[in-house]
Amino acid sequence: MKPPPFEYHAPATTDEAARLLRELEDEEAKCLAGGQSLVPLMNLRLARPGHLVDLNRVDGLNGISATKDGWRIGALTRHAQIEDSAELAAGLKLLPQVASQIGYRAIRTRGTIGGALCHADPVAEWPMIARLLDVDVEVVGPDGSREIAASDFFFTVFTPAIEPDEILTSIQIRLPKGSWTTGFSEFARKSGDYAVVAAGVFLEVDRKHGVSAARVALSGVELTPHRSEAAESALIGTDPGDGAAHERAAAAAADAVEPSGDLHGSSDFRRQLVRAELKRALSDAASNLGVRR
Amino acid sequence: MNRHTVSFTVNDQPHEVEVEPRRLLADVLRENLGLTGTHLGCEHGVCGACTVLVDGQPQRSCLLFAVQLDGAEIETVEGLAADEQGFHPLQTAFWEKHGLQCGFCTPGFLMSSKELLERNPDPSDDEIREGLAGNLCRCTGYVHIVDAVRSAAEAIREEQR
Repeated sequence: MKPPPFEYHAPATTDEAARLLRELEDEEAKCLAGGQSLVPLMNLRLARPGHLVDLNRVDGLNGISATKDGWRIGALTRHAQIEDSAELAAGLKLLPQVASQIGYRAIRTRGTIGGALCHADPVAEWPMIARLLDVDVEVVGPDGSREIAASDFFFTVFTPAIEPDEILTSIQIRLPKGSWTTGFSEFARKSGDYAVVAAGVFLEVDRKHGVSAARVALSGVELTPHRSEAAESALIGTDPGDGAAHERAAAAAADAVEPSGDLHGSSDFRRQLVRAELKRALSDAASNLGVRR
Repeated sequence: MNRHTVSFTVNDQPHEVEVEPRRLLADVLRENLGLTGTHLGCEHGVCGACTVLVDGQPQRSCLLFAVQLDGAEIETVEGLAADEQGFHPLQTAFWEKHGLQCGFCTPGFLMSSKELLERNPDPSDDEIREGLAGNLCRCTGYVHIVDAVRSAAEAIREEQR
């Protein structure tokens, strides 16, 4: 099992990379980030790019930094860097928590957040988290840079709304000013497997009136990450620690989805997982409230 | 001609190889350099047999192109017992605790375990299992492998005391 032949390019800047992608547009050029999905596809000869534009030596794509209203994560930041980040553990611990669930350590040391978003696997964690946090995805092309909202980024399975000559450079996370909490839970057959269903929640909490804004995202139920409006509206005005409210929201989310079944889980099983995992994610969010972010 | 010259070290020895871009690190190690200790199982990142350390990080050598690794420091299972003293404590522990039967998966387990113990010198059994979840063994059933890693962790801590 050897990958098909290709030509290799290692640009040093995003501009150079974007230019290469434009020049090679008719020759099936692909970006190579961590390669933890692309290289298996090439080894199995399911992907046969004519050219690989390796982003690993491009300056400025890797890193985690605090911004005035949140975080900027460079596209080439490895899952393991996010998992190990003390800054994020203190500031937005959802990200290290989620990173630790991706694949295995030997995958996480290489795989990147930008690569995972561009791969747009409907069962992967980062696309779901991007929808949960309503991140903005920054891309650079031959005509400059632009931001794409996460709600517009996932077109369908394995298909991001990014042009063939554009490169994802960073993810911008903007957090609300007031009090908020996050929760996450996923079900996988074994540690390191893709989750069958994963649930993430982001709750803004008002001391007097309970949950003032709720976001609920699910993976494994549709071709793109799913935002459960049913669960979100069920949570408004509830006490974030109220188990009965969690149960109602989880049931509403499960009732509103029509997952298709596959060998990893039937439609009914996935719906039950939505209910179970969302309850766990809500209870995680409640336990994170006021303790740490 | 679509060939590239790449330089890196393997177990502290410098190497320069001329490769096609599609040449995987695992094949360079085994075929260009004759370091057949690194084993190839699934060749798509699932089984972990080909795990090596690249700049100290465990990585799948079947998912890296050698052309990407100019300047890298690579460690393979051959580097574990590189000194004249004999086995690395992990190798001794795998031997003593029956952590292998056919041995095919062992190089990957050893390299993953080495990095795990560097990051976490005193792991719980759950942490060992989690740390080795990316390595598959079809013979032993893992109980003895976990025993071996726990025992190696003790030996290494003792050594460093």
